Order: sequence, then structure tokens, then C-alpha cells
Amino acid sequence: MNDDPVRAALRRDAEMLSALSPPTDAAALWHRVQRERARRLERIMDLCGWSVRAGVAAAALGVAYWAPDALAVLVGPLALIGWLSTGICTPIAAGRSSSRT
Amino acid sequence: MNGSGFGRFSDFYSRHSRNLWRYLVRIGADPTLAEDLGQEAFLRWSLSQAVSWDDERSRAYLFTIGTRLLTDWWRRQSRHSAWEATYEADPAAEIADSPLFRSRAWAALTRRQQQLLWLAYVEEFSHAEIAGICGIAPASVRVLLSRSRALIAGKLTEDNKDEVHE
Repeated sequence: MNDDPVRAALRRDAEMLSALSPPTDAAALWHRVQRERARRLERIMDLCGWSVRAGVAAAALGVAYWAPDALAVLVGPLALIGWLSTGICTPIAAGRSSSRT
Repeated sequence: MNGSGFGRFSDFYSRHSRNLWRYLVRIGADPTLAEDLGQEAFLRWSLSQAVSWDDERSRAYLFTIGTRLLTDWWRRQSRHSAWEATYEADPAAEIADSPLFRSRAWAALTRRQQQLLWLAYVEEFSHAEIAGICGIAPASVRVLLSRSRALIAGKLTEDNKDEVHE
């Protein structure tokens, strides 16, 4: 191993560089990881929330189109939309903007 | 859960952050950029499926991320991925102060050749892993590495002869 001049030269250089490398701070980087994971989860929740809302709205429109006499049926979906817009999936929940800063 | 997640992250980070930093420095990043890109590489690694992979595979993936981040940075700097260009930038004084750098043998290599030699002889990745990290065909690694090795060996021999004559 040691009689290989190329390997030896590279290893010496690597050792010298290791001594110059910046100190490691895993805890600080871990906080960034956690923040990024939270952001990703938030985006997924937002997407789920909007998908459900869009689905309910499409269903309500479908009902209005295919059975205009059954408008009373819309009360349920509209109530569901109202509930979702104040629920965990909403993108405008109280405190959301402060959690992003 | 968080404790074990941090344990895995901290262990992986402490074992490989220095290696990734020196690799990025030796293929052309300045020390500050190498530090930033290294942190970004660990961040992306920790958010990927690679966290659950075995250590060797994870390490290769980490170096792949680091390499791509540096290539992207070069592209953003409108330098285009100058893998085939020779090293022209002046490195920081403390980084340049090594026998390898003073010999100028390293500077005679292209970035691709530097990358291959470093990954093979310092990090000891397999040819398949090197191919993945560099984004080249596995069959090409052996040939390119052999040429790179012959080139730097010749340069180092020339330098040694010059030193003896002086």
C-alpha cells in the first residue's frame, strides 16, 4: 500500500485537508432538517386540503348540474367545505404565517 | 423517534462531513463554498430515502449529491461544467500548501481526472459507485482512472527528479 506513490501522495493531501476542515455542528444542521421536514409536511397537508375541497366542490357542481331539483343536497357538501376551511388542512389557519417565519 | 433520527444523522454527519468537504475542495470548490454545499448535501440526504440505506450506499449517494450541487453551482456561474478543463482557479493559500499542490502534478489533471483519482484512492469507492457519482458509464471508469493514474504518476516522478537535480 505504502509503496504506491500516487495513493501515498493523495492520502497525505487528504490528511492535510482534514486538519483544515471546518468544525462539524450536527445539531445546528439537524434543526434545519427538522424545519425542512415540517415545511414539506405542511405542503403535503395543504395539497390534501385543496384536493378534498376541489373534490367536494366538483361533486356539488355535479349534483347541481345533474339534479337541479336536489339543491338541498348541496347543504352537506357546502358544510363540509366550511368545516375544511377552518380545519387542520387549511392554508390560512391562525398562526400559520408566524410558523413560517 | 427524534432521538434515534438525530443519532443516525449525527453519526453519519460526523463520519463523512470532513471527507465530503475535502473532496469538494480538491475538485475545485473554495473552502466556504465546499462547506455550504456540504451542508446542503447532508440536508438533502436526510430528506431522502437514502437515510434508511446501508452506510456505504448512503455515502456514495451523499457524494453524488455533493458533486451535482457543485456542478449546478458552476453552471449557475456560467462556467459550464468544466470537468475537462484543467484547474485554473487559485485556491486559498492554506489549501494549496500541500506537497501534492506544490508539485503541480494535481494542476496538470482535468477536474474529471482529479475527481476519479480522489474517489478511487482517497475515498476508496468501487468503480460502480464512482460511475454513479460522476455520471459516467461504469465501463469508462477503469479506462479513465488508469489514464489519470498514469498521468499523475508521471508528473510526480518528474517532480521528484527535478527536486533531486535541484
